[in-house]
Amino acid sequence: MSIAPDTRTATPQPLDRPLPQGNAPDLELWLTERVAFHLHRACDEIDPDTPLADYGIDSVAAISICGEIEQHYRLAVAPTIAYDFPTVHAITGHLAELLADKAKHDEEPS
Amino acid sequence: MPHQPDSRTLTDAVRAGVERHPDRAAFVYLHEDGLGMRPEELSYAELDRRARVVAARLRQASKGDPSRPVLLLYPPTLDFVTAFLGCFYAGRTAIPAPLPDEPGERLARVSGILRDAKVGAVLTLPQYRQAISAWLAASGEQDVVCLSTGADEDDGTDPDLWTPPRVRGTDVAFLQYSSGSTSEPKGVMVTHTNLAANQEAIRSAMKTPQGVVAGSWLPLYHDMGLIGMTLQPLWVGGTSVQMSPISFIKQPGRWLRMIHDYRVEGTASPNFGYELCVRRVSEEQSAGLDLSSLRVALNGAEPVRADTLRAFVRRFAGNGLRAEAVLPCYGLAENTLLVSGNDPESPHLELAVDAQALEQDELRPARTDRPSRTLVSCGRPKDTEVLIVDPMTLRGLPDGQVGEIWLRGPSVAAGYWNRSELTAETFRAVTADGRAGCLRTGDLGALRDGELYVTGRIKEMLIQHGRNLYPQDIEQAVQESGDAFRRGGGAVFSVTDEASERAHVVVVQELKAWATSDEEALARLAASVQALLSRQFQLPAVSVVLVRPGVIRKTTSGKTQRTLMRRLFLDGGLPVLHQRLAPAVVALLPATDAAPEPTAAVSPRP
Repeated sequence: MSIAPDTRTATPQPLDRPLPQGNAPDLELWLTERVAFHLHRACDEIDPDTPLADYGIDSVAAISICGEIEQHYRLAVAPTIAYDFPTVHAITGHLAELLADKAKHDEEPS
Repeated sequence: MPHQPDSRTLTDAVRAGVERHPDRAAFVYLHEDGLGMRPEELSYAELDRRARVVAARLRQASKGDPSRPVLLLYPPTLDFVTAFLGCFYAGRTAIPAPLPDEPGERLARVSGILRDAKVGAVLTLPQYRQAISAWLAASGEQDVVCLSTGADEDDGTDPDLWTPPRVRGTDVAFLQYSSGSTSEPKGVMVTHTNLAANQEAIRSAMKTPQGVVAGSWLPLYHDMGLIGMTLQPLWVGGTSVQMSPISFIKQPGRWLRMIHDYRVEGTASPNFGYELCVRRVSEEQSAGLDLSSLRVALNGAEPVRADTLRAFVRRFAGNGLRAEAVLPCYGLAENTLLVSGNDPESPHLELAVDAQALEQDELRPARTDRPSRTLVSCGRPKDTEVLIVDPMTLRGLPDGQVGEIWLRGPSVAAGYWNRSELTAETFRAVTADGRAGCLRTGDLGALRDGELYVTGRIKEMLIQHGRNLYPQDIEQAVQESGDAFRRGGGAVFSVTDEASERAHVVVVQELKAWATSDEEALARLAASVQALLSRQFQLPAVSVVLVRPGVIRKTTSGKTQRTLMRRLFLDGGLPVLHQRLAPAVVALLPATDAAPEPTAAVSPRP
């Protein structure tokens, strides 16, 4: 007997909005806004080249930022992304690459 | 259903489940898979088969002393559960611990456990075996066996080789290393009798039905995640649905979706988990979720905040969340887990008390003309006798008086592993009137009409002129006094000036981002904190340190680390935006090259 198989909803969220574009300025704008939210700061306080560690990032904020990226860009990234790429610029660069790869992959005929 | 005798062990409970409903899911683990969650199910029959294999392999592989405990190093997976149960099946003492997959704090912690516990074997997943063997060798543990387990790691071991272990109720079932510092870990010895007693206490307190569905994202090596969310469902032949803490923190809405998808009846989290849901789950994410199956949502393991309970209920009432389901509780590893919890069928109590009386260790009804504090009741004690004891005189205190919470009962653990002195002090305390065999919790609280109100920790308590002040009360008062102060972003502690032996109160408070730039405004804020505390707590000239968001250190479960903040402050290690320090406090700080700014120190006001 499997648990509650009938009540389980399909897990993947429906594609209810177009996928955001991965161009760098949009990416940076969006990321800055989310980073600011999780670090409890105003957007204009987040300098793209200042290490997030200087803003006092904790593990909950770092993982939250990772989760937001995954959700927004439908892109799996490491939970350590905010440590591996320590600034907004560094994360943006990394994401732009991932998104370009993904776009190339999606275009290829299956 | 006939009541099971308390003497049964976890092994008995699982074997009973296997007999009655072998195909029922004992566990469902939700793995992140792309953007969705992929459920992995483990039936009672398969859980039992894998645990028997682990037990048989442990017996074959261990040449040394079988009384040495087995350290379990797993990422959050069902393989941890089968290995943990395998230790029970083998009659070995298990130690749940986090996988030391990153250097730093976690590795230091696990290394401390390895040394302290005299571990005989380590169980892990195949992909970590080599690294862990190397770590064991480097730690000088030559005789420790490292085995890997997992669905594909049976190496042909026949599960039918297993024979049930002979265990006594007094045997240590597992060691819970949740208290103590990194350098001096303390392993709480939970016996089979303790575990059975606390499982029964949880079952009767929460009215857990047979076959319950529980769901949680708590770490499996944490007492609330292990005892409450993993073993309690097994105890009653139920199902435990789990996901990792990372999956939850990435998207808090996943926890609520799990409750919806699996009709979860019982869940648990420290206060911060409920706060994350309120702050981060969007209307879009919660639309259509049905939380009406939830009977018990425990809030424990850190101070329970009345405003968090209210905000969570308000936010998700439209999703069928019942207010009574949100259930404050009190427990600790030294009592296996649960001490007291609110009744799941009635709303929890809140008590507005007079703040001044609380400082004098008394609960008195709040008066409109004086400052008050709101305390949340953690319900009635269950199988445990709660004594409120004056920590200095060791006299028992009457109802309505605040003192140290002492416990007696079958859930009180056997002590700390290999620490007889500390065990005697903590677990064998005697009151002034001769009540023996008590556990000193180090927590402060009071009983009133049979309900337990937890008010703070002894070590963090501030004593000012004989009055006991609770840091969380001062923190909360500061945070409620102005928009610029971040909620939950404060640490209050005292520093003692050795010459006069006087304690000075220091308030470190985070400001919201928009309030951090204007120097004049900062000075006004600091002055306003001093004025507030002088007015409300009669504390003259407290030292105030204003900092940016994120400076206050918290534990992974969200507890403010006041002792650490005190050390950082005394070492001069805080990034200060602005501070007003009493001269006696300035004298305690390391000398800086630059002379202190004239604004940095102010004289105490009359």
